[in-house]
Amino acid sequence: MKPVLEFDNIHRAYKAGEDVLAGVTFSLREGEVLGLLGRNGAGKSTLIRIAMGLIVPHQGTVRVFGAEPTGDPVGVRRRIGYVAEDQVLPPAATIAELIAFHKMLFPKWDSTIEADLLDRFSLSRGEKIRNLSKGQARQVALLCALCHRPELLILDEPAGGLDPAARREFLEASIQLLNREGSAILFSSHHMGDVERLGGRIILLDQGKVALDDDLDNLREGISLAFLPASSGRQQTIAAMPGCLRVHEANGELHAIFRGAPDSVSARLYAATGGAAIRCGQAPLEELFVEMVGGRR
Amino acid sequence: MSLLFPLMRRDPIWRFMPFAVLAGFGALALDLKSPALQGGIAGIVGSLYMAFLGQARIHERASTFEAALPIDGRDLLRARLASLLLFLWLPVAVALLVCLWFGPAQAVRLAWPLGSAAMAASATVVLLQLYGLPRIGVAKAVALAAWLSVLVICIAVAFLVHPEPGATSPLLGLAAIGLLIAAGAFRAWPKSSLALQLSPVELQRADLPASAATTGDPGSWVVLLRSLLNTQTTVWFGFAAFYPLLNNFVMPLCFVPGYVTGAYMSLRWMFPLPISRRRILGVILLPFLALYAISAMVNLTWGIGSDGDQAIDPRPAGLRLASPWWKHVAAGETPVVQAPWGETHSPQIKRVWLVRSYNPWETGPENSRQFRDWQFRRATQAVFGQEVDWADRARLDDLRPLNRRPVENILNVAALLFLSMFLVSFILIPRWSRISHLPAPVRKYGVMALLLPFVAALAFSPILAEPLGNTGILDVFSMAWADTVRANPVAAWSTVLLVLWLMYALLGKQFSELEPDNQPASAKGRSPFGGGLFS
Amino acid sequence: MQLFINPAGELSIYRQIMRQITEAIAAGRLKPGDKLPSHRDLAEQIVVAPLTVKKAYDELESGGFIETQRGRGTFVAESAPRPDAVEAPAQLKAAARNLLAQAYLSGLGMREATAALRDAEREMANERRLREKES
Repeated sequence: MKPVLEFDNIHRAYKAGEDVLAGVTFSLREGEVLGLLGRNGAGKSTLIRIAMGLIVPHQGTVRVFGAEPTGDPVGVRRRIGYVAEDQVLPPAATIAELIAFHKMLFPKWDSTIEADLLDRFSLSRGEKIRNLSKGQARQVALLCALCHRPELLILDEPAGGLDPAARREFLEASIQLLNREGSAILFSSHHMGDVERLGGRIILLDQGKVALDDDLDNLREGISLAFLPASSGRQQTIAAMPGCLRVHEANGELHAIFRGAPDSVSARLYAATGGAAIRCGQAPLEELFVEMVGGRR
Repeated sequence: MSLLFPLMRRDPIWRFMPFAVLAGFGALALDLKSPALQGGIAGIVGSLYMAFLGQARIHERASTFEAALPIDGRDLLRARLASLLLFLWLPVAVALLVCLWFGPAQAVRLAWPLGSAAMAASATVVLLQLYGLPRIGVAKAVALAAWLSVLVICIAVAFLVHPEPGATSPLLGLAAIGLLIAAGAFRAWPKSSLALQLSPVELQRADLPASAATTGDPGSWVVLLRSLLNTQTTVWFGFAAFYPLLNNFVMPLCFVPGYVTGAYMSLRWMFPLPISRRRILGVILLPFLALYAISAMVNLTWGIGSDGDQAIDPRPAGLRLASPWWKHVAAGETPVVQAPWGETHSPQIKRVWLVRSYNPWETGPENSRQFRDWQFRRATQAVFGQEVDWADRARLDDLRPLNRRPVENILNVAALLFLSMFLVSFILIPRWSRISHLPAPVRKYGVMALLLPFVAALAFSPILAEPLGNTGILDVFSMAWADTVRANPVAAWSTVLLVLWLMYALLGKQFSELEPDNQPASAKGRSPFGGGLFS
Repeated sequence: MQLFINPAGELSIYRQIMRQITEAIAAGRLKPGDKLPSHRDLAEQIVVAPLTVKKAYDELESGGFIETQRGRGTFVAESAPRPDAVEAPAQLKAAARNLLAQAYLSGLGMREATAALRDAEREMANERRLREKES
C-alpha cells in the first residue's frame, strides 16, 4: 500500500546546534493508526508541524500523500484533519461562521457528520468561540477536522488539559472516523489510556530519534521489564546483551528493558549475571514509557 | 509598596525600551536638523508611542502568572501604571538631556513638543487603564468618576499650558472640580473591590452575554473579517487612511509593521487549513495598501493639504525652495553660480549629517535685481517646466510643479506601496523558514542590523535638509526614477505595475515560507504580548 | 453483553476482550449460536480501535470460540472450543501464581487455595444451571 505519510531522516533545530529532531525516519500506511510518544520537548509537535508543512525540516524529506506538504499546501491540507493542543481559533467568530468557512475550504464537507457532532458535543451554532470553555473549543476544532472526512487525521496532543469525559468523547469521535472512513491517524498524547484505546503502532521519540517503533500489542507482550540489584560492572554487562533496549540505575536497583518474553529474559539475565535475584515481567505502556525515557533529563 | 520596584522591573514594557530610545533619538535628530518641523515632532513621537502601546496591550495590568502570586492587585496596578508612564517619559528625558549638551536653548525649544507628546500618551495610558476597571468588577460609578476626572484634568492642564486669553479662571475651576472628583474616586477605590487582583483572568473571560443563536447560514468569509478587524487592526486601518490626508505620507509606513504583526497574529489560525498563504497575505495586506494608496492619491491629486504650491516661495530677499530641488555638493567644494554677464553668488551650504546641499537659485543681498530675476526664471523653468517672470510671480499659485504631475503622483504612490511591502518583507524575516537554521539571536537582531542602513539612508538623505516638507520623502524616490519613465505615462504605468507586482510576488513567496511559531507554544510559555513579532 | 476495558491493566486490550468473551462463554452468559456485535460496533461501544477488536475476534475465531458467517455476522461457536496447546497452560499457570500469591498474602496455604477453586467451580456450575432453567 502507498504510504500516506513518510518521514525520511528528518532533522530540525530551534537553536543552532541543538537538534530537536536528529534523523527521524518512518512512514504511515493507509488506514494505519500511529501514536507518537515522547517526553515534553521530544519533538512530537515539531514532527507534526513538519508533516503539516507549517515548518520545514533542516535536513531530510517529508511526503504527505506522496507530495511535499510545502509544495502543494492547499491540496495536501484539504485531505488532512488537524487538531492541536495549542490550536488558535478565531475568538470573535461564532461556531456557525467557522463552520461556514470550513465548508468553503473543504469540498468533501459532510453536513450530517456536522449535525451529529454538534449534537453529541451539545454545541450551539450561535456561540462565539471566545465564550467557549477549553474543552468546547477543542471539540469545535475536532468537528472542523472530522467533518470533511479526512484521509489523514493529525492530532497533536488533542486531549491535553481536557477532563476524562471530554477525552472519551474525543476518542469516540476518532474511532467513529476510523470505522466509517478507515482514515489514517497520527496522534501524540501523554494519556497512555487513550493511546492503548486507539491502539495501532507506537513510535517513541527520545533525544531526537525513534527509540521504539512497534505494534502496541507487540510492545505490551514482547517487551519485558527486569529489576535486579545493582553491582559494579553489571550495568555494562547487561547493556551489552542482545535485545537490551535500556538499562539504568534507580534507588540502588538496575532497571533493564529487554525485547522478549519475561521467562526467557529472566533466564538469560540469570545466566549473564551469575545468579542475581531478578524480578521480571511485562509492563503496561505507562511503565514502559517511564522506564524508557524517564530520569534522563 | 515595597513590591513596586521589583514589579516594575519585570514589567513587559521594558522590552520596547530600545525601540523607544531609538525613536527618541530619531525625533531629536530630525528636530535638531530641521527646526521647521517644530510641531511635527510631537506627532511623530506620539505616533511611535501609539505603535508601542498598541503592541503592549496596556489594558492588561498583570500577567496571569503575577495574578496567581500573593500580591495585592492594587500593587500590580500601580506598578503597571508607573512602568508605562516611566516608559513614556524616559525617551523624552534622554532627548532633553542630549539637547542640554547642545545648549539650553535647544532643550527649551524641544521641551514643549516632546513633552506634549509624552503628556498625551500618558493621559491615554491612564484613561485606558481606568477604562478597564468596570470590566474587572470595580463599581461602574467609581470607575466612571475616575475616568471623567482624569479627562477633565487633562483638558484643563492642556489649556492652562496653552492659555486662551480670558479662559484661565473657568478652567482653573474645572481643574479643581476634576481634582475633587479624582480625590473622591481615589479614596473609594481600595474599598470598592478586591477584584483588582483578578484583573488578567477576568479580562480574558469577560462576562459578555452569550450572543443569540444565529439561524441563517453566515457567509463563509464573515469569519475572516471578524478575525482581521479587531480593535488593534482597525486603528491601523484608520491611520493608513488618515495620515496621508493630513499630508503625512510617511507615517503609515511606520505603522505597516505593527499592522501586519497584529493581522498575522489574528489570522494565524488559518495556517493549518487548506488555504494558500498568498491568499492570506492578500487578505492582510491588500485592503491596507489600497486604503493607503487611495488616501495618498486623493491628497496628491486634489491637494487637500498639498504643499506643492510652495515649491517656490518668492520673497523680496530671494526665493525659498522646497527640498527636492536642492543640489548636492561634495565636501570641500564651494558652489558658485555665475550669470552670463559675470555676476556671481556662492549659495550657502546646508549640512545635514554628512550630506551637503545648496539652493542653486539662491541670491544674496549683494546681487543685483537682474541676477534675482535671472535666477527666478531658471528656477521656475526647473520646477514648473516653464519660465515665469518675477513680475508674474502670482501666477505660480496656478502652476503645478513637475514633481506633482499625475505621472509623478502615480510614481510616488507606487514608491510608498513598494516601501510598505519592503518593510513587511523585512519584519517577516525572523520567521522565514529559509533562515530557521540560523541561531535565534542572529535571526532576531540581524534583521535590526539590516534595517539600520535603511534607516540611516533615510536619516542622512537630503530630504532632511530644510525646509522639510512632509512630502519630502516622496520626492526622493520619485527623483530616482529615470526621466524617460517620467516622460511617458505608459512607461510609468508599466514600470510601476511591474515593480509592484514583482515585490508582491516575492513577498508572497516569502509569506508562504513562513513558520507560524518558532517553537511550539507549550515550550515557550505565554508571552504577555500574545507572541507578537517583537517578542 | 457489556465489556469492561481497563487500558492500564496488565493484559493488552485485545487480550482483555478475548478473556471477557471466553469468560462469558464459560459462564454461559453467551451461548452457542448467540450473535456477537460486529467488531466495528463493539469498537464504538467500548471506545477501542476497531482493529484491536478485530484482532481479538480473529484470535477467538482461530481458537474456535466464535465463527464468522459471511454476510450474517459473528456467532458463538456451536462446538466446544479446543484448548490452545501452548498459550492456555501458560496463562493458567500465571493465574495460578496470582491465586497462590493472594492466598499467601492472607496467611492461607495451598489447601485453602484448592478449596477456593472447588467453591468457584461449584458456583459457576450453579450459575449455568440457573441460566439454563431460565431459558
